[in-house]
Amino acid sequence: MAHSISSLDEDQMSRKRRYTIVMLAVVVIVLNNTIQISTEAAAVFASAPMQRVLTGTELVFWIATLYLVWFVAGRRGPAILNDELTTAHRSVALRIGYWCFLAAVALAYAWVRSGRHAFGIVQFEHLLITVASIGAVIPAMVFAFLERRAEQGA
Amino acid sequence: MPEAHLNNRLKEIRAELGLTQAELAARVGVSRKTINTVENGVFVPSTILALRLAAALKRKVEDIFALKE
Repeated sequence: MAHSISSLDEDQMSRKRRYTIVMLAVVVIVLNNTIQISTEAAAVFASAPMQRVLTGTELVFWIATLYLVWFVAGRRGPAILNDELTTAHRSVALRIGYWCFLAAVALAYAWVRSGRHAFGIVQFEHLLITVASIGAVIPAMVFAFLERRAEQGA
Repeated sequence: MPEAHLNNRLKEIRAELGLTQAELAARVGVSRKTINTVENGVFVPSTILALRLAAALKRKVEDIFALKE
């Protein structure tokens, strides 16, 4: 079964996808931290521009998170980049991500239920974006790791 | 049933035929990474891929793959 993409192109595209995924994961982590810090700042310097910046950052965070999930889970690009091996890597990454996400939800639940911390809407927001980040970043990093390992020695 | 491990002679047979990983990948219609991971025993191919590999190398599947004793 022949395909039109050369091996060099295929390697480059695969590498580009891996770099994009890692970069997006870093963006999600940075935005997560930015939101947490900005929320604290917004509480101190309560002003309309500060709130707008925060709302904008939150919006970008959710877009980046959903894009990352779609990038890892979706079958994008030519068929050769979604062959049997990549499908297996995607499956493993999503399975690990699923369990990590569930563990994060359980931990968050236990933390809230412990009642040892004052818990308001801001803390709830922080918790929500942290759990969402875990659910998006972990499968992305696992997928990137597996793809890198497969490329090594090729 | 005990866990089975797969031995393969893919690299050896590919080398005998003077094919690169990329050339074999192109014949079979998979990425070069896939050939590499199968050769290294990191990835166990599906029956379909094993049959395609055998056809591309003009060998029987059991000449390429065997269960580890």
